Amino acid sequence: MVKEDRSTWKSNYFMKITSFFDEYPKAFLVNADNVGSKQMQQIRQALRGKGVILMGKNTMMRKAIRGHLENNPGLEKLLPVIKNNVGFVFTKEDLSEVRELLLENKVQAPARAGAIAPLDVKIPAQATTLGPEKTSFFQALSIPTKITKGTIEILNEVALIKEGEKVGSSESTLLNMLNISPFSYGLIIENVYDSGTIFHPSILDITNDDIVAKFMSGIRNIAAVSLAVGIPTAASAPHSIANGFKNLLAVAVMTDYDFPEAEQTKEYLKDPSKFAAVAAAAAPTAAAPAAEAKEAPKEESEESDEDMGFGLFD
Amino acid sequence: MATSGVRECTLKDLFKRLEENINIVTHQIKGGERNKEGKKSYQRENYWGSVDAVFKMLSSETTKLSLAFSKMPFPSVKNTEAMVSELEKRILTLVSLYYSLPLSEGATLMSQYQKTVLQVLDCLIGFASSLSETVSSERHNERLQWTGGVWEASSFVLLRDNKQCVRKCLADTAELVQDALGEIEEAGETDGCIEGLLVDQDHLHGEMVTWSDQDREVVAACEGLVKTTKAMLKKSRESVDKRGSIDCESAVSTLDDFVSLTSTISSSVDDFICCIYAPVNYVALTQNGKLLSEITDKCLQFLRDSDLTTNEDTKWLDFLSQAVTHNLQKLEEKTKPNNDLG
Repeated sequence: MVKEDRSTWKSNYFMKITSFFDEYPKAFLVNADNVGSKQMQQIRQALRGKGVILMGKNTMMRKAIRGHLENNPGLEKLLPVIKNNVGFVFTKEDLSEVRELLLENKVQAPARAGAIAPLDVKIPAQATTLGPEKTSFFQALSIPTKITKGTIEILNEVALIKEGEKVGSSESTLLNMLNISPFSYGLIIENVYDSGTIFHPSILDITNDDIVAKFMSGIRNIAAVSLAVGIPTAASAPHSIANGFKNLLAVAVMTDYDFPEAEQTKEYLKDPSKFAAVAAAAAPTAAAPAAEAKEAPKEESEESDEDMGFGLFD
Repeated sequence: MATSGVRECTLKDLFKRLEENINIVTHQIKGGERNKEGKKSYQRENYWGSVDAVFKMLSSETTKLSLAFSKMPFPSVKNTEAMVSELEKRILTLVSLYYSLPLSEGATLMSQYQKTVLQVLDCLIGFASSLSETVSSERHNERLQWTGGVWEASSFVLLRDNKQCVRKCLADTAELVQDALGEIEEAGETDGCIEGLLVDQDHLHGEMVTWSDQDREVVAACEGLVKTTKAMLKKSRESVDKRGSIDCESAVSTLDDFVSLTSTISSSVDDFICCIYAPVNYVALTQNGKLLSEITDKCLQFLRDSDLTTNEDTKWLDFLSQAVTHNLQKLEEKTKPNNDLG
């Protein structure tokens, strides 16, 4: 009877996978490297009511998905990304909220020998509690030490492991002796699945500012093309008007022709020192009106120069 | 207040209609009906340049709509209709471009292209649905997410010829086979026992089931068979690199036929390896092993008969064929009942 339970779990497992895909429209594909069973249990508890974790053998997950494609063809996109140490976090909730929970559940972990360091590990200069008999460990790693009051003192900060390198057994032992747990591990989101579509998790970081930035870059492209081909558009009109004004200003400066908007520029070119004096007087007190007065004529030229990238007399 | 209610409803209708229209297009493309001739004046560089441009335009139209609905007050129905109509025009341009690719360019290329176009359209459906939600509940998370989805899908770099696509298919299959092979090694570490898979394991009772001595020998034979398949995939990729061509229709269809043969390799390997866990079902394992060796054999035979290999390649083709036979025989021998040592 007992044995039956264990021998029938395989078919139950396949049914479980497919039922999750039917029940939950969204899921994170997570990498569980370096996440122990205790931590996994903690994450499961933290997600209670918000999501369900499914870990398993990739071959079984792929097989279950293939068997379920007839009912849910969108799952096919998952097949190529089920590789290495991955699992699923299924949810019906807001993806960003569940991601926060996953990020909160990282735990400090010792540097195990053979693990790839996710960051640089440095040991600060310090007086340790280790006795002189442990000196050999430090010597093996060429770490300068001295004995102070019967214990080992590390003289300088030591860069022990570089990011991306494998942790050696000496490094691992030393860090354990010093009670340093330099890494923090948790479930790492590799892909996001939502209603038959897969995307990169960075998409959950997109804000309205990103959309504005993308929109503005599009507007700049349209303006540039419009100016280049000489076809006015709403995007290029302000630039064309600014260009026209600059041309008028240039003509006004070079001839006797005057118009009110050119007066200040002409006056400035006649006697720049007058403006310098005003600026110098205004600067220490940072008087707002003076600054505004100075800003006014500059504003147009600054804005135009920045936008257009053309010189005054182009 | 009442006016706002009416307006919201109409905006919702607009987005619902957009979603439905994209759904219709998606179903058509999924249906796979195609004009055999395609566009007669097809020029590779120009064609893919246009596809890139349409993808960019789709991305821009999405950005425009997303920005317009990023905060209250939302645009009027009239303005929204104009924006939606622009987006629909771009979608139609994409669809018309999609249908103008001649089939003679290759089925593998077509399949990759179809997947990419469908990914963009799926994201646009999600986007249209998220706009409905934004209008009704002023929630923006979904809108932001699907805007990003459209950006990502439309910035996907498409491979532009059949040979590149075939190469990628073979590489993807090889990666999954490699992943499955790694699983055999992992299974060895736990002696064929799987624990920690189920969400709720409390219902599992009794002793853990592990491999017998005979199981271990059987699994070693399984590993050999999968390794042979992996080696075949590697050598075939090299052959495609060296001799694959897209200059004539027959060369293109040779590549497609080969990919079609390899398309079931990953599932066969997975089915095979799923059987290695304790308690091992020898009948199922041998059946799956036979299927895998048949597919690998067929692939080798195809390579042998096609222009993808020459006399130079006979040595490795022979070697791999023998390896398939040897490993299958070994598997059959080891699974015989009288061989049970456990």
